[in-house]
Amino acid sequence: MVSLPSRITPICLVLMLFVGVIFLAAENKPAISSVPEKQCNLHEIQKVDQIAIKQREMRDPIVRVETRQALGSGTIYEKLDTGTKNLFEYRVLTNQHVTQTRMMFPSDADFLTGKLIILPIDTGCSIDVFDHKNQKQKRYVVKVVAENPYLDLAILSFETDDPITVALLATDEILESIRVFDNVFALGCQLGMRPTPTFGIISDIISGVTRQVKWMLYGTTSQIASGSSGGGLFVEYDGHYYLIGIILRAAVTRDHHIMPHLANAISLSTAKNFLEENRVSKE
Amino acid sequence: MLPMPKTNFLVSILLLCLVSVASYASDGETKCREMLYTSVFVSAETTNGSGTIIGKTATEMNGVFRYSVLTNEHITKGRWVIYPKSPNKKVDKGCIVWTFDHTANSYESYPASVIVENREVDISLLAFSSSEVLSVAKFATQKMLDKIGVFDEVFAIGCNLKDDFPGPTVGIISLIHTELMGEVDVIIYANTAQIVPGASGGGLFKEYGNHYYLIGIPFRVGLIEEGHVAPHLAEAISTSAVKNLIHENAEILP
Repeated sequence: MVSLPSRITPICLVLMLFVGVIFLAAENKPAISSVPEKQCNLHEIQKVDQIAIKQREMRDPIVRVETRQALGSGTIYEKLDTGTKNLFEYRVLTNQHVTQTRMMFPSDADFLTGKLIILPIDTGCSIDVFDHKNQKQKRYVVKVVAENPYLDLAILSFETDDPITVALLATDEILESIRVFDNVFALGCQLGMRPTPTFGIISDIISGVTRQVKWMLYGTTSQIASGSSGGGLFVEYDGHYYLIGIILRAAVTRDHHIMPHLANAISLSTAKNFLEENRVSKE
Repeated sequence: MLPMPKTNFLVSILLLCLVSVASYASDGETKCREMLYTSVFVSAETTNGSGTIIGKTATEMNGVFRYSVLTNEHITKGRWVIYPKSPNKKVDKGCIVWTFDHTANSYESYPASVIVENREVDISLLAFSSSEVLSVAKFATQKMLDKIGVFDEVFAIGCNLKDDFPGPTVGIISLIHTELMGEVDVIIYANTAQIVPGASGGGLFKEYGNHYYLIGIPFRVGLIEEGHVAPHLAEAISTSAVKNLIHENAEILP
């Protein structure tokens, strides 16, 4: 180590450095100005890559779910082999309150008895899958595989030979690590638009039991609006983005105004049992 | 006195702390200078909103500068007044630009002339003269605009709720789409940087290499239901549309 002349006391040294720092601040030179240009470019490239990962892993698996009476969102979570070359079955997780709007209940009086007859009609469900790069979208008619009104979850299924991105499901380890203040992204078709992301934090974790079924909800400040229901709540883990919840609802004030930042999502830990049950029944 | 090696170690730690504080403060000041201080309030007879100072030129008068301000046409159009007695005659009441000194917590107002107005693209350019030295926003280059993608962090600066000093909000780009405005295809940046009435005409900024560049003009916000805005469903006109307008009117601009 280089020895300093004894005349320069540490206090003098500190003062000199302090003056230097003040000059730096006065000139408003960004701290990165001393970083070589190559490193700056590398930083920019890494940023661009991270953006591309976000788009691929969070935005691309989100679809718009449409019924005759409503619009919502859905998240593609599984790709299954159909046995036919290049043809795959994709499964979409959404809310039951979205899929139930496909049912219509026209009523009529019985011709002989005069009794009121209600004839439920299933008007079907369709989804729009988006090709964001080319600003295109493709519509598929989907089959409702399973519905659970208590959990407010539904599974849709469709077949296609188009390559479609599937969301990464959070593992139990990731789900258990989620805490209030964790950063999250909510993706859904707000107001029926194409899938759009919002950013926020986990604000609450609520759990309970209804009809002997355990459930867990995440409160989040990631803003949502009408049409976001069924979309995905994602968290970053090791540089990748995992689905941790299904967007459920936003709080409403007494005068019926939606509070976009007081959103709730059903935890994937709740949805996993439902997904597992329906995977078994299909096979 | 402490032995020298230990002193050096302590000095290094102190230096590191000071540099961190300085760079943090410097970044905050850069944000203020390049985004916040460039924002102005624009008022007309029946409308008001925000604006961003985008140009500064010296005038013949010593120490007086001519500034140009970018805002929305739906703000400047409120300068036209129709009196009931003569409904066929429109009177131009002019616009006023309000600049802010955020450190002194004071403001100044200047009469401004409308130089360029494009209703289709909803863009207006104003000009005013002042002896004050005001901050001017940096325009993003086309290369920067081309790189903008969904999930990029952005800042929206504007006079939210019309009666306040300009303030920033932060969010991400949520959607990029093209909209036909009149005969022009305009790129629109949907973003989650919250805005409310009064923020129209302000600036949407993005960081690039530790500097902040103007990439758009917030001009509208989504409606969840009638009369109830969703501040996070904001949309901004890309400055690429403005560049064309400036290029076309280069001769008359200050």
